[in-house]
Amino acid sequence: MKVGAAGTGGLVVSGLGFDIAYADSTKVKQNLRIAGATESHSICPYCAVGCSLVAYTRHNSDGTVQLLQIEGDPDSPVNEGRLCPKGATAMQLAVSPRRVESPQYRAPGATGWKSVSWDFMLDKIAQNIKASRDATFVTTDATGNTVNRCEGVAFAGGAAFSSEEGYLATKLMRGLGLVYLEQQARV
Amino acid sequence: MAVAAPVASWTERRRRTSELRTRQPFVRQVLDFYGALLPVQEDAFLRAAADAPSPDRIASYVAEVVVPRVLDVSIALGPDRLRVELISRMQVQDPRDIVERWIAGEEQPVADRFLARAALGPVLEALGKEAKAGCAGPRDALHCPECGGPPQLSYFAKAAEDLAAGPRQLLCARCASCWGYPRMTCPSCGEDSTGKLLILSEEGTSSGERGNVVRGLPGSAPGRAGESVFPHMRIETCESCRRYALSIDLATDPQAVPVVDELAAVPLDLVARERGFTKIIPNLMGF
Repeated sequence: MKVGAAGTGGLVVSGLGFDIAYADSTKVKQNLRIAGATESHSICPYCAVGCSLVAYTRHNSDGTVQLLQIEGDPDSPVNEGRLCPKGATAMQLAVSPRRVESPQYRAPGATGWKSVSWDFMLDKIAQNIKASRDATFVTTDATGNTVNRCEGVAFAGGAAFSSEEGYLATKLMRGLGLVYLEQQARV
Repeated sequence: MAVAAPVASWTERRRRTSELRTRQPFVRQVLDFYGALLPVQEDAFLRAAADAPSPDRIASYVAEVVVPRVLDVSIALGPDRLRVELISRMQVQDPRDIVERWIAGEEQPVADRFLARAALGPVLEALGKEAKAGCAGPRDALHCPECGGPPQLSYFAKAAEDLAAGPRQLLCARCASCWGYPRMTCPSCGEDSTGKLLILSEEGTSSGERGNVVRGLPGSAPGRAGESVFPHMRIETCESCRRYALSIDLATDPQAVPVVDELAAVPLDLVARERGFTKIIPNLMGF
């Protein structure tokens, strides 16, 4: 079909003479706060279904990118626009005013959590891993084969792990001799 | 002959025209005229469904039965320029030729195109695929699968579930049929590089800004959505072809009627035009 916008592009009115509507709409237009955004494809990080997402982002004038909205992609044959309650809140994985911003520690016997520094928490985790590993390390199995494994520590990866985070975690845990490794995204 | 669209849709168009006339007084001139045209179009729809003109006679049927009534209401209640143009065109042009040129997809003066669209649209809506098949135009994803017309607008249908996003539909400028179309693709040229598809909307109107991650549900954030004029609309532009279409989100405003809301969004048309974009095809009222 050849009919298009040709012949109308340079007109400032409708061409049919709706001059009052044009003038009034111009005033309204001047007060509109218009912002630009783009949509991007993404995939829900949480489980093995791999639902398609649409992420709606705004590029601000100061160079920052603001995530505005994430929702199911209606064009995806996987989820046809649907998301489970967890996936529907995927935006809160990236942006949440309720995010806990420091490590929380509850000492043995304590009744509540307290905020601690990352230095304290990383030292504590390292000490606990070493203590458990030293206490439960198995060098040989019942038939005398060398196994060098740690049976007293298990590792569970979070669903929102990236591939790189998953790789790093697996390398570290295998290096410690762990054999009980699991990952929620495998479910 | 089966009626292809429910008569209720005309009731919905009248209701929405009346609502927006109050809510958006800046387009009252357009909506008053559209409101006067609607009964003529509804009557043409009902008569065409009853008369069932054969596909090869549609242009002469429309010219004889519908055009005179569209002319009457347009000359009585239309804006001055339209009235003058129509009177002058009728002295030199056969109405049947005007309708045939719109069916053939040819370039036309704006007054001719208005007359042909206003008169033929409801007749095509009333008739079946056979009648629409006689219209010229490619039957590809960028055009109406029924009549080959270009898309007038895009809308997101209301999904059946709260946690689902509705699919995108395009609405035909010629016969008002709808067809599904990928969301992140330009409906004019097929560009699907999302970095080139800038979406313009009023600040504070996206679900995330309203404090709710689910499209269509009210949010808790004290954003500017409540103050916005077009909380359910956006301008979908394409850097590749420099065209745009307006998009209506029925999840955000279930009371919206896309064909009416698109006519009433003149300020958004002006925003798009100011930024150098041209609408895929101007709407019935020429915006």
